Amino acid sequence: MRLLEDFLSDEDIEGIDQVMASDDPRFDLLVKVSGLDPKNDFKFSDLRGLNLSGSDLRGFDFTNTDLRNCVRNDKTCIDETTIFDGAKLEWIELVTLHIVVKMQELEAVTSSDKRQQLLNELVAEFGRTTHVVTYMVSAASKARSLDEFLDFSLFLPERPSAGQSAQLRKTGQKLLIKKLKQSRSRTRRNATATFATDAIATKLQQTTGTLAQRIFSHLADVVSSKEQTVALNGMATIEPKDIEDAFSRIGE
Amino acid sequence: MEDAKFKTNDKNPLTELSGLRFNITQGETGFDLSCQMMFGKMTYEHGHRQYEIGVVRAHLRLTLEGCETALGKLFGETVLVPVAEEDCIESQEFAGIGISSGVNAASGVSAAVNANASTQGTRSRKSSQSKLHLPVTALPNDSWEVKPLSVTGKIQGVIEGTAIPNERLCILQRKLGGNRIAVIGEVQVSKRDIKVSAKGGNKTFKAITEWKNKDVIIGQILKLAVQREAATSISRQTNSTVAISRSEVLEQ
Repeated sequence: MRLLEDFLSDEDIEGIDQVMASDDPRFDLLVKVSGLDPKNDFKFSDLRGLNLSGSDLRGFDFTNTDLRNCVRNDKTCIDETTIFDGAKLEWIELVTLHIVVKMQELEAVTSSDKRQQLLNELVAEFGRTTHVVTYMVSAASKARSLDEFLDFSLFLPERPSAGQSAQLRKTGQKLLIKKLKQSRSRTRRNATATFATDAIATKLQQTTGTLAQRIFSHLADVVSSKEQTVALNGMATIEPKDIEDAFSRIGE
Repeated sequence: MEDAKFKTNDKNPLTELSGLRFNITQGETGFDLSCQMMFGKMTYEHGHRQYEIGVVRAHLRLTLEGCETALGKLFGETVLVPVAEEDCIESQEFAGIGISSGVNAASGVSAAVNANASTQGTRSRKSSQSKLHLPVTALPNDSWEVKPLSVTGKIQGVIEGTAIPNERLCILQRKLGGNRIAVIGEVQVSKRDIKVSAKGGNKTFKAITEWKNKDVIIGQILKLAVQREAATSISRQTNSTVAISRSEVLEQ
């Protein structure tokens, strides 16, 4: 009985050792050390999910090979000597892959600090593109706590679209009511909710040019228009009702 | 007439991957060709990583000399069944009689009897079809397809187990004017259907991106070694397929 080990040649084993020891996962470089022939050894194969970013694929023959879900970037080198006859192709751009990974990390995070750090990286790396904003609106609309919602509002643009604003207003109001209710239930006194409002107002002031800042400016408008504020010459306390009013103005 | 004598010769170079054996016996109407066909997985361990090699689909193809398959039952036949559609109407009849009576000053007693009847019907149509997914199915022109199936009929994983458990594959009859009978059966697989997968390993994103390319390239080396071994022993390989088992029955 012959096992697989028995019919591997010395060159095969040498190739496997070289691939395993390689520090560079770049596909074409691994192929070079493996001893495989780019012109003949990748035809009629299942190569799904390869990372081909940065790879020089000139001279590779992928005839009838399944290359779905392979990742490439602008440095992946493909020209007329790369053969894809009958190959199945569904490329994933590396940029998209990184965003997807970052978004998955964001969804898994539980602490506010970590979430803000990841959002900061997301916006710094990819900008507030339509894709990123759409994702943040969707994630904020699915937030399970007001803290989580406010974290996203610190990175969302000041004026999202009307549809997005409506979505955010609905979730924001719902989570705010829940938060205030929790604060009151702790001591069974309405006054306790004031502590929560202070923390919310402080967080809303953290950034500029964002949805959070816009909500804070709505809050300022609400508070300044109060009779009590006028009577006290601009001195005022923020009440839970004021925050509720400010959240109801999201999108204005 | 003297009984025909047969000699069999099996070539199963990839002992763990596939095994094919034929036997011919004199039956009532011709020669019964019995077959045992089995599949398994090959494993390979190298540097703390383990790889499994199997096939996701295979074809058994017969080459017949001096004989032909007789009309009659084949192993793995999928006989098309008529679809039954039932059309029935269920009806309910509602009948009512209303009697009204009163005293009329002019004519004395008057009575009116109203009868009404209504029919309500519902029509239901029922059709049913059950389909049996066989792991081995007979195809036209003396060939059979083998694939691992789930309850949905979709291919899942690699083929593992006995595909044909020493049963009659078909009945052969001597061709008019035919010389000696020779039956050659081959298990052929598309090169794309040879699957190499790394077992266990790394789950982190970094490790997956590093090892995905390495695993695929090592998989290609193993796959090519399997193809080379099969081609050396069975010497039948095309651009897209390779024969991994062969059984011959020759009349003496």
